[in-house]
Parts: sequence; C-alpha cells; structure tokens
Amino acid sequence: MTTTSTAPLLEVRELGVDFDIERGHLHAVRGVSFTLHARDRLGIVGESGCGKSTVVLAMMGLLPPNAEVSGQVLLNGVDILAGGDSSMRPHRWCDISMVFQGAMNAFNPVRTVGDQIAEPIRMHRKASRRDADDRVAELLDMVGIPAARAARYPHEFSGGMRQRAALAMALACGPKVLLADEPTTALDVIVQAEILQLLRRLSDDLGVALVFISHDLPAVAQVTERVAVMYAGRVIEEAPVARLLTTPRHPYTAALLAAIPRPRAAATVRSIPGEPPRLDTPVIGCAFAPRCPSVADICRITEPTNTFDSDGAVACHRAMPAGLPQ
Amino acid sequence: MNAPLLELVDLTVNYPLRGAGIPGRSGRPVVHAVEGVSLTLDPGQIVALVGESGCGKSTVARAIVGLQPATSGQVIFDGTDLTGLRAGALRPYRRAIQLVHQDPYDALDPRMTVRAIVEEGLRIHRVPRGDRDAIVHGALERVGLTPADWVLGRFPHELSGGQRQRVAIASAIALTPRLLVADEPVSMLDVSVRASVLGLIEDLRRDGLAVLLITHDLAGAVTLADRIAVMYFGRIVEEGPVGEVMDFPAHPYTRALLSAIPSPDPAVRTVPDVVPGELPDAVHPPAGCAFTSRCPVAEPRCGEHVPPLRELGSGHRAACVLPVPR
Repeated sequence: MTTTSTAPLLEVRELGVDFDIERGHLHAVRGVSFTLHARDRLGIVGESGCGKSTVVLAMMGLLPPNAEVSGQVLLNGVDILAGGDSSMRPHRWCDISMVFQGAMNAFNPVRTVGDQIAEPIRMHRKASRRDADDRVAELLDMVGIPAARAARYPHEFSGGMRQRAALAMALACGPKVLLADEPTTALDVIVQAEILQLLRRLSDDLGVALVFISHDLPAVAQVTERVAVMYAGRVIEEAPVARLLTTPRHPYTAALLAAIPRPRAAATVRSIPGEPPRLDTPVIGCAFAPRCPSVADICRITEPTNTFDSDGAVACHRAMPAGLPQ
Repeated sequence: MNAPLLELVDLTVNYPLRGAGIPGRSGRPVVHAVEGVSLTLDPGQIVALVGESGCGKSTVARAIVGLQPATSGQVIFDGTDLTGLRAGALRPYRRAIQLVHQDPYDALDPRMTVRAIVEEGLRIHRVPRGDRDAIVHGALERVGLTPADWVLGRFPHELSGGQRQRVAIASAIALTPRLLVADEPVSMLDVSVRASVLGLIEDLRRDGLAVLLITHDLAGAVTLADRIAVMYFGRIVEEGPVGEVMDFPAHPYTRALLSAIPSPDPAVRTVPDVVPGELPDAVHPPAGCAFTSRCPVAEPRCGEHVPPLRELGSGHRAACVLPVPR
C-alpha cells in the first residue's frame, strides 16, 4: 500500500488540535499525519482521551468553536481545512463521511429509518423523493437489510440492524472516505463480527477508503491493513497490522497487546499501570515515560521524534529494532 | 463437597407488558425475560454468566440482589430462599450480596465525594459511626486506590473510568459481602484498564468472595471464571467448567459466540458461525429451541419443543438435541 505511485486520495499532514479551556490550552492532537488511497484501510487505536476521535472530528470540520485546528487535510490534493466551514461543506458527507460513536442510538425515534437515511440524499444531492427512496432501498440492500424495512421505526430494529442502517446513512451520498468511530464497541460479539465483515466488504466493493477508530486492537486487525497507535495526542507507532501485532516496536503498543484477553492462551492478561498524562500541561520528554517498563533517562528529557523504517514509523528512544521477532 | 453459597432453582422472571391487556386479569401479555434458570455457585467461586444483550442475564442479576421479584422459582442463598422474605428479614442478605453496575459513569452520584459514596452502605446497614472511617480506608486501599486519603475528598468526575469502577467495587466490598454480582463490570472501560479490574476481582476471590460475573465478553470471562453459563433468550443453554465449555462447546450458540471473538491475528478472518436471523419474540416465545432461527445446524425437530439441559459429564450440561461434536 505504501508504494502506490498514484496520487493519494487523502493526505493528513501535521494535524494538530488545541482546545481553549478555562484553565488554558489542552493539546488534544499533535502532529498526526497519514495517507490513504482508495480502498486503503487504516486503524487508529488508543485509550480513551488519546485524541483518536478528535482526529476524525477535525477531518470532518465538526469540532466545537473552542478548538483550534492546525495542519492540512488534503482531499485529492486540495486542503479542505484551509477555507474554514465554507471549504469543508461541499465535501462533508459527500466526499468524507462518518459513522459516529453510538450512531445506532442517534436515530430519531419518531421518524422511519428510511426517511432518515434519505435525508442526506435529499439535502446534498438535491434528489427527488422517489430517487431518494430508490437510493435508500439500494443502500439498505448493500448493508444487508431487506429494503421493506425502510418504512419501519428505529425501535423495530435490533442494535446490529440500527448500526447497519447508520452505515447506510453514512454511505448515502457515495463518499470516497469513510471515518468510523468505534462502530462496533457497544455491540454483542456475533453482531460485532458481522459488522466488521460488512465494513471490509463495503470498502472492497465501493472502493471507499476507511479510517477505523477503536480501542479494540483485535477488531481493528480484522478490518484494516495498517494501524496507527495514538498516545496522548500523538501517533507513537504506525505499521502494517500484521507487523504491529507480531513485533511491536513501541513499548506502549506491546503493553496494549498484552492487555488483550486471548481465550485459549495460557498467558495472563496484563494491564498498563498508571494513567495517561494530563494534556493541559506541556509534556516534557516522552508522554509514555511514567508508565513505560523500558524507560531510560533520555525519555524523561527529550520527546522522541518519528523514526521511519521500510514500512512504518515509531516514536521511541528505546524502540525495538525493526524486523526482529521478540 | 460444601453446600453451595447461591442456588437458583428454576428461576423465572416475567415482565408485564405495559399498556397491554387488562391489569390483574390472566392472559395479560408478559415478556418472558428469564425462563427456568438453575445455577449454583460455591463459596469462593467465579461463575460467568455470558450472553448477548437482551438474553436476560441482567434480569438474573436483579433477581438475585432483590431488585426484581421472581415470578416463580427460588433464589437460595446460604440455605435460605430469599424470594419469600419480607424486607426486614431480607436485610442481612442485602448486605451479604452486593451488586456492581455496568456503567461506572452513571452508578456514582456526581454530587457525593468518594468518602460519602463508600460510606453510604455502611450507614444504611447501621455500621457504628466510629468504625466507618477505618472500613472506608481499608476498602479503598483493597481496590488499589492508594493512598486512600488522596481519593476520599474527590468527586466522581475527577476520576478516570477505571478509578470510578474501583470506587464502585470498594463501596460493595466495604460491606464485607459473601457474593459479588458484577454486571458487565469492565465493558465500559478501556482494554488497558479492563485487565486490572478483572485482576482485582480475581484478588477478591482469593479472599474468599464468590463472584457472579455477568458479561457479553466471552474472552474476558474465560480468563477469570471457574465455571461458565451461556444464556440465550432467557434460558441457560450450556453450563460447565470453563475448560470443558471452551474445548468441547456443546451448544451451537456457544460455538457461535466463540467463533465471533475477533482474532488478533489478521491472517485469521473471524467469521461468526451463525445464519443471519433474528431473536424470537419474547412475548410469544417459540415452542422449540429459541436458537433455531440462527442455528447453522438446526433440524426440523429443533422447533418441536424446548430442549432440556442434558448432562454431558464432568459437570457439563447443554440444551441441544443434536449430538455433540467431539
């Protein structure tokens, strides 16, 4: 994926987000960069508060007014952040779309599901009611819901079906990039596995580039080819998913992997001691240093910059060498 | 063998359907939430009750702690059937059985300090005022919130999710219960924190506390529990020692749950072993096995009557009429 010569569909460059809060500034996201081509699938993982949702909300231009966004989001080479909301609006939902965390619970209970999926089509594509209805039937079919269910209300859908409908709504205007924020988190395992399969299939069939946000590494591994691990607002490691899971280079990635329960493994699950740092004070040194098992003196003084290898990047003074199994 | 600490005998809970039928008349429609659940839990044992949302597992928890009256059947704790007891007689059992809720963000009163939250139960159960401080300190330190003085004056919003869940567990164990009913204690927490809260539950068991762990997370349950009971549509469909159930899952639903756990190996695609289908209607339950609609191996006879739990040896039981693949 990294060696594709065609121009990228989406390029995020040095994205930063600061929130203006009562006590000063909160540095939620710092220097996040990644590139997506059509059909690429990138996972962003990390603990609550690491900034992963803020990244995708910034890409959609949906952050509250007290957020200061820096950096660029280039869609087909054009920076959609440059001109504020007016430059973003033509792209939102039509080119870049999003499934929100808890989207399955965000349907209006007194309107039919089909009516709600049709709304973005009528708003953005200026489609007639009949055309919109046809498109809704097509979308529902795509996500595995019988088209006749369009006339039903949200309470008549199971959780998994509401999540499928939320996906249909996000795809309504035919976006090229889909941002999915924890799309399976509140779901039962079987439904979760079905939605993960569906995400994979939709991105293959429609050629949509996918950014999949989750704190659940195994779920991400099931869908994406690459994973970026975020900690305290920064991407601290990025690599192909298989590499990341077998030979993590950053101690935080290794710690996240050790926290995954594996039903048939004898290894005990280990949690990561301590808490992520506060983001309202500048971080000195590496943000993970206070919790890091392989911390050295330099880690407390200098913040590590990204070092790149053939297929990824890591920001750690004590990074495991690339390509060596542990 | 010791007498069981908790014994559920044919526990059935129906919820009357609001606004339907005539109150007090027979034939008023009810939701069959829990049907004939029998389960035993020995002192110091961890039993996991696993199932999808809506399967009735939380209703079982509510019936055990007395928040939901049983329609029929018995909840026998330490030899006494709690279902027939009046409030006064029930009081010591309410102390001996403590519930930890799913959502540490909702379960704690935002206007109470940690000290007040943990002390509340002690006040209600008339623990002498002079003893309370030491008990509160002890409970907070037991759950790893050290130094306790640091956390005593804090409000829930000042704590992280993991810390809040620890406060909730502290307020439960402050009453020196013999049974902890933990309803999805980690599903709202980050993966990195889950392991430490599950580890805490394991530690408490070493002190002799019995735990009924209610969860939809089979992978997490397996790492902790001694026995596992799988619920589907209000009934236990399989129950047995964790190793037995994991190695020889006898019910197709258990196999479906196991097949749906996302593999952390991206080369292994997780494909849930179910046919697309819906849960039956809980107001008009089907005559046969409720899993028939999603079961990949269902036969016509599965729809005839509800299969009883059969003994498979080694304390392993399953409710399926089909032969067990070994």
